[in-house]
Amino acid sequence: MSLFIDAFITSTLLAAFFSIAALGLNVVFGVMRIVNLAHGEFIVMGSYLAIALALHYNFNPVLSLAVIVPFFFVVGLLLYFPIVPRLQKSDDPEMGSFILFFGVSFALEGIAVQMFGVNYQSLSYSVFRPLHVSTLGTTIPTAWVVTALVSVAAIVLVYLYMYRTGLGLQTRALMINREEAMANGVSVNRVSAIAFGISIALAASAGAFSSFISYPTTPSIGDTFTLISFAIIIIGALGNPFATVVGAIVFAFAYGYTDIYEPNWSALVPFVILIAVVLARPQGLLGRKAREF
Amino acid sequence: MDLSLYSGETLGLIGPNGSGKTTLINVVSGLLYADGGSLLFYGSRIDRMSPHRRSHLGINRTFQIPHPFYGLTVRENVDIALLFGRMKKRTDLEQKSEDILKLTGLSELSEHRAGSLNTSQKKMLDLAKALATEPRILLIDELAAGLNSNETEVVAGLLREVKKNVDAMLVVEHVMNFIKKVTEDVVVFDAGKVIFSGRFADAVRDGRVREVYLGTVRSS
Repeated sequence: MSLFIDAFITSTLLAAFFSIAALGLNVVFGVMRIVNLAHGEFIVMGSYLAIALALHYNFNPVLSLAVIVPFFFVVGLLLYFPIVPRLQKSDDPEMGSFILFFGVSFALEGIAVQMFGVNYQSLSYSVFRPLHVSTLGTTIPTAWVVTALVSVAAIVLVYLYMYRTGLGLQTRALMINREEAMANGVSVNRVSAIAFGISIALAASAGAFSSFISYPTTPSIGDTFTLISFAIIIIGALGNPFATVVGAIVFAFAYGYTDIYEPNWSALVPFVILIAVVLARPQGLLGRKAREF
Repeated sequence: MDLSLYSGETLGLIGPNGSGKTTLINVVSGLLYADGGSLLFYGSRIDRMSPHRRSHLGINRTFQIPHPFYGLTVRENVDIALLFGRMKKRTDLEQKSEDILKLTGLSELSEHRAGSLNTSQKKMLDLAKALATEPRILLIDELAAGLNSNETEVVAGLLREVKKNVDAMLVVEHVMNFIKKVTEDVVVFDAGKVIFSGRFADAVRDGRVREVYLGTVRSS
């Protein structure tokens, strides 16, 4: 029984982390109808920045968010303007985005190799004291709990942005119907650029914690993060940011339980579920034929 | 083609399917950019201006097939247009949206989700949203298509009311009866060209217009 509870707690924390890791990818898809295949590389970049801040300034990763969030938000804005409006003018922005961001992901991986080398790096659990917390008869690292709490806070903030601000209302309008939103005076570039900035900032924030709860940081692990994030948003529903949480829960529990009971299968089972979802409900678990938000 | 819309004018635009009526509305409202030529709004060129900036200037349109923001309520739909259509600070948001909903007969549906409306209600909501952006020029794309004769009557009355609040209106329509009720001045399109411009009553007697609508007319 304790194994079962163990798996439950781990999966819950993992679901929170996966949510923040994948949320930005879905925001970008929802607003811009493009897929950022370099999404995972921004998680890796965030991770390297958090590690550097810990090494040189003794920042714990929560504190480092004060640097990471604004820095990567600006990186997102700077990337948006030369790339996305051009893509959107092409005949097939979705396909174009695959190819373009595939290239961007290689470039970023190359930069990471140059700057940080190819060795595995991780933040130490000891940045948080006490090292462990015990609950329901199991002991888990404090770092995992902090990761999950930060993830939940980030999701709540994005929710408040989308549902309680004027820009958020414009963002939702743009997600539902682009042409109609433009006719109603919604500034596509302003709203999209901010959404892109938020997406990159979210990815990098997830990166600040990724070396605790998922994989140690190396330049090549970005692809894995992209793959997991993409799987999660497909399971949840493409283009509906808050369905990401549902996708993350499904993915994390599939992974968490297999990892404890049949570790050899843990890399496989979540993707079998992905295939099953794609076959049975191609619009995703929360997807509707007509998108509503 | 060469087309002018004057202040105070309501111009009907008619023509067979594929003659370019909706394309013209798309070019004026900015969803399509013209390959050539120029587009002037009160004397300034706006050919390359993005659609939301044209909305801020005071150009707006309705859609042949309206797609409101389905997941939002009728009122939220109108509020978006009120808030962002002209980018003005608003203190009278509630009163404004109430007025517009009342004018378009949507008051009772204001808290319903836009996705649950029927076709004619969606068309009214589309018009309400266009009005909420306080257009100086309003482009109406086949508002009467698919409405029954009672509804057509009501909508024609509504447009006559709307006319008082905008500088000028361009009404694209298939239903001749509807055009007649809204305006006397018409332009007839065929294959992207203006083939007639003048009074509606003269248009129906014009040889080329009849040919375009009815096929070749043999003189007897």
